[in-house]
Amino acid sequence: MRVIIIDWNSYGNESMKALMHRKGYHVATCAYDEHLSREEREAQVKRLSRILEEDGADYVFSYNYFPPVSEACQEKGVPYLAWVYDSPYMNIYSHTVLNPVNRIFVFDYGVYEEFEQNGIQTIHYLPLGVDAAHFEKKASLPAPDCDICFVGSLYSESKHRIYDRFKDIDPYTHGYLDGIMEAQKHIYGVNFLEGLITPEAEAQMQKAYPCNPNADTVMTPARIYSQFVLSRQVTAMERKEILMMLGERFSDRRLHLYTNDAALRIPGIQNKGPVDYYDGMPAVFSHARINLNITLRSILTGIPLRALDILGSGGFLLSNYQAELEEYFRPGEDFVFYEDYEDLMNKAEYYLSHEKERAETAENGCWKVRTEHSLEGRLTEMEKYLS
Amino acid sequence: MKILYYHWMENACSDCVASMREQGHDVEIYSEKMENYTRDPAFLEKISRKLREGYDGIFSFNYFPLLSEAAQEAEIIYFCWVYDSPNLTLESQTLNNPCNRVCLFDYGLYEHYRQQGVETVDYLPLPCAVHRLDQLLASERGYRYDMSFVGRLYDDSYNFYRQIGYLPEDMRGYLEGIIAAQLQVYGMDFPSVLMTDEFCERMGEYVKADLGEGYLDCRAELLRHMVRKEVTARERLELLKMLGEYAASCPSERRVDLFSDASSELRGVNLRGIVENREGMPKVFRGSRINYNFTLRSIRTGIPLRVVDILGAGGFCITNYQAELAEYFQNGVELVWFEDREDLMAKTDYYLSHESERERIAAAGHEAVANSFTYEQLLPKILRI
Repeated sequence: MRVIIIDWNSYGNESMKALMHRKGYHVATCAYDEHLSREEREAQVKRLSRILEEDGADYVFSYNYFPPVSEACQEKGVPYLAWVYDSPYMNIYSHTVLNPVNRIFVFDYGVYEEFEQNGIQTIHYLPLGVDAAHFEKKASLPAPDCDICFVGSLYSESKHRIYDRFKDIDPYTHGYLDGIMEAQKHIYGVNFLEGLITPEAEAQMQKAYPCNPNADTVMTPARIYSQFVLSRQVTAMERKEILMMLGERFSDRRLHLYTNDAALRIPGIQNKGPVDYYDGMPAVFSHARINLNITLRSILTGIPLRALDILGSGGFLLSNYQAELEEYFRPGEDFVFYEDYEDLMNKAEYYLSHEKERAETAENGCWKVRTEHSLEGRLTEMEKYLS
Repeated sequence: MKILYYHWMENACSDCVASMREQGHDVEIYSEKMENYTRDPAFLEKISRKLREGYDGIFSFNYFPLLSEAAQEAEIIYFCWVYDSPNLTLESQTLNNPCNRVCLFDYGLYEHYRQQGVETVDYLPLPCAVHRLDQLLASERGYRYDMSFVGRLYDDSYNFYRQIGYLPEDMRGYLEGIIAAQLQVYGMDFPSVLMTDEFCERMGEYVKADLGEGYLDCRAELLRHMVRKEVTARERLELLKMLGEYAASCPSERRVDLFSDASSELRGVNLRGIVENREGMPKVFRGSRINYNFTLRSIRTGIPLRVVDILGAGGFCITNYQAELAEYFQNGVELVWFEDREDLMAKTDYYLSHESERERIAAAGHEAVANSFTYEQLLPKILRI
């Protein structure tokens, strides 16, 4: 099999390359970086086209989905397998998703369903997976021991604090948005934010932070605001509130936060700054007694990558409710759900003092992820769509 | 036991008294009017004189502080069965009187008071006079209505949310946000968590909400009830509109019959006015293909009387989800509950055209109520000493 991997700084890229090598594929890489200038990107796509032209390929693979890559593949008639791990993800609302060469995989069934209902046949559903061997190796490296650990963004850097730009919109709309976000914070399993953005609220947001979807996307402003601004803001508030509450309630415990914003301070929590996803994170999880997953609210039903990372590292997972976690894993046996803040505190308390149960749960979850949710199995699934 | 039964405007008097007597109690009905719920010396004197004739207890539906005072003084028990929610007189200082035996049908409310340290409250679902209804409806045959709703729309002068004069824009927006979100969700009450005491304190500067003398300070809860009622008002109107539109565009010519104080015209909805409670209402329930219940949002977890009434009359009931429904019934077996608007419409459409399934469910609902929600079963749980 000849495969071209679109090389960018994605999670899992190295694992995928290694897997394909193990399978004896002929793997070529082709760089593509969305953050580069248009000229540079065009040069990268040209290079891809040239390789496709000269050497050919059975398929092109990328984590996430890139419209120009799809166009190049479409031109040469080569299948494009794209596995999307971000949600929300603007590029899958591009008109290019309709290109018949595409086999795009989204991990959130809720997102898949929406495309499916619109008759789009190039988007499929596939949960994310873990590189079992890699996690096993990295999880045994040294890392600081702690009681409760959270790895993730609090969206505290100014580039993430988009909601702050709405501080001067009319007070009624600001109050309204606060109201629906506070309500959403208490509800898991349903995201009602988009449906509650009234035309007036949208107009106000447009004034403060204009979003003009370009011609290539079918994402509406209401969706963009709800997914990229409001859902993120709800998640930011939620993560911060939970950490503050933990800091207070478990002041005698070691609570570690790994996040890009190294300057962020939360009483009772040790901010350890960023951790390298590939080399450092698995050991962080395996050395924490409890690992939290607080899902980004734009993910509807899917299992976020973070939850799988935790389980794959042999860490004990305490997560908010997500429908698909319940579908693939046994709550209370492979991992544990919390229903609200109070429940989270009680369960953290419980599992910190029930070591045997905690360790068994982590072990069950780890075994299940490594055997049933391996990268290998997922690649086989994706390749089924080649024919 | 010798019981003084306090009769006010409640409909359940004769059913309840009949059942008490069947169970061997000596019951006298007392219906002296109160001028005021918390302070009426003349009433207290009259009832105290009455109690000297020797009673073991006073009984009333809903809570009356003066009855508690009288019972406390006479050293007898005050049996009370609350079917309204909110029943604001529960905020009275007298609720803690040791003579009280107050039964609440809403487990969430029961828990709320227990957490406040009130030990005089118990939990008990609401009753239905199934045997009387069976006799009343024995000769009823066929359907007169397709889709019926019996209940208020709360668009009247008691909807205080709509009478708020001035509120700062940010607060008004925040409340509208809570209402919009609440309209999407059952089983979780947003006002109780999002209208914090601090928020209500600030809101209280603009909105008068006070029960006056003799009550605990429950301004925050009154403001929350205001919002809950407004949510219910918008919800009932919206759902009836949807059902009416559906009925009007249905190829098999369906209609919605609304038994209410409502006056606004809705497409596909016949306005029927208020229906009499003891005979008229059960006949509507029995004679309708579908009866709807849209619970007043002040009820936290409990099964509203309306649902018990519908099932007891052998009617088929589609209701919103309430936590306690799942404790007594199975969805689709004794009655049907919906999760959201789409689900409501899908289930309406399905059950209108699946007659035998619907009738099987209504029969099972009737049986379930006859087995566990009759006065014969429930009354002894209150009338214990």
